[in-house]
Formats: sequence, C-alpha cells, structure tokens
Amino acid sequence: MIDTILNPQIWLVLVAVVHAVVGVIIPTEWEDDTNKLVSGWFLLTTVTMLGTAFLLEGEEMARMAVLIAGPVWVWFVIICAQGLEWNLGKTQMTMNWKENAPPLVLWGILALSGLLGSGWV
Amino acid sequence: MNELDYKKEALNPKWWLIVNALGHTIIGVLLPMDPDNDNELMIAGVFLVITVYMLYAAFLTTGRAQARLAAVIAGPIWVWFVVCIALGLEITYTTDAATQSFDLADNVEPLIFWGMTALTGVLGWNMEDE
Repeated sequence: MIDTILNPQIWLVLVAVVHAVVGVIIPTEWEDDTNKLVSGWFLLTTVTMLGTAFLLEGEEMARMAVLIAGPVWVWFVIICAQGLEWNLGKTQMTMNWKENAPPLVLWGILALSGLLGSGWV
Repeated sequence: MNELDYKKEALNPKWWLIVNALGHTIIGVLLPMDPDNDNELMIAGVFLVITVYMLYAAFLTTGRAQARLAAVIAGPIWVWFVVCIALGLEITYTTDAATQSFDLADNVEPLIFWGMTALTGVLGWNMEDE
C-alpha cells in the first residue's frame, strides 16, 4: 500500500497535470506576449515529467523525479523566503508560504517519493 | 589504443548536454539577468532548473536513458524557441525589455544547440545500453 502511495510514477503524472492546468493554463493571461513565453516554458516541465513517467522505469525514473521536483521545491522555498513579487499573469502576488502551500506539498511529495525509490538513501 | 571516432562522438548526446547546459546557464540566463528585478530572478530560477536536468542526464545516466532524456529535455525547448520566433513574441518583464523580442536572426545559436541536443537524443533513442 505504502509503495503505491509513494510510487513516483503516480506523483509525476499527478503533479504534471496539476502544474499544467492549475499552475499554468488557468492563471495565464494568454493575450500577453510575456505570459505566453513564460507559461510555454513552464509547460516544458510537464513534458519532461510525463516523459520521465512513461519512458523511464525503476531507479532511473525515481532519480529523475528527485531531479525534477527537488530544484522546483527549493525554488518555491527561496521565492517564499524572499517574498519576491510576481506581477506577470492575471494577478500580481507577493510570494508567501500560505498561498504556496499546495505546490510546496505536491512538489515536496514528488521529490520524496523519488528519493525513496532512487536507491540513494 | 582506441582511436577516437569523431563522428560517433559528435553525435554523443553527453557532449551536447554539457555544452548546452553551460551555454544556457552562462550566456542564456546569468549574463543577461538583472538580480534586482523580482520577475527576472524568479524566471531565471526556473530556467536554471533545466541546467540541473541536463547535467544529471549527462553525468548520471548512460546509453538509452541518456539519449531519451536529451530528446525529452531539449526537444520541447527547441519547439518553444520555434513557436516564440514564429509568433514574434516580445519580452516585457525584463529591465531592458525595450530591446528584446524574438526574431530568427537573434536566436540562431540556441536553435542550433537545442536542436542538436534533441537530434542526438532522438538518434540514440533505441541505442543499446552501455
């Protein structure tokens, strides 16, 4: 049961979909050039995650999950700690822990599931 | 002593991953970045995540897995450049935004480097594992 819950493949697909839909497609103002190019770049991560989930297996997939999610999680921690201001997209926001709790949890669990399956620990 | 097969090495995804990671990080992200601009700082962080993927693929994977990662990482970025150029998108979030827009003449180098990385990955997609 715990193996299923912490299967990196499941988390890769789940986070890829949530990241694409909730994190990028919905909040993006698609008429704006900068939004288009930045959101396009963000969506590349979804491709990399789905490629990892379906083209790799075992420890290779788990290690890639750590590599993908770990730096993104660290990125969220840094921007929240510094309280950076994001004024692209539909709404301007100052990065804080409360509003970024969902992505922090999702990317964190993805990284954790990868770490546990990586053979590195 | 084994002779170096330059043709084979030229199509080795590992070298393209390393060169591309360095070029992307230094020339593409760090040099043009204004650290006092919050948006630039955050987007630079996202760009640099790709460097981590590439260096991992280059140094901690081999054979088929490395080739497939090279294709999966670089292919979509090449497509991203093509789409941005085709749409002629203008960059408005950077400090020196007035001078930046996507046109073919300014983006030949990244198109070549990302394209070659993706191509070597595709060519090695079904290679035998080392």
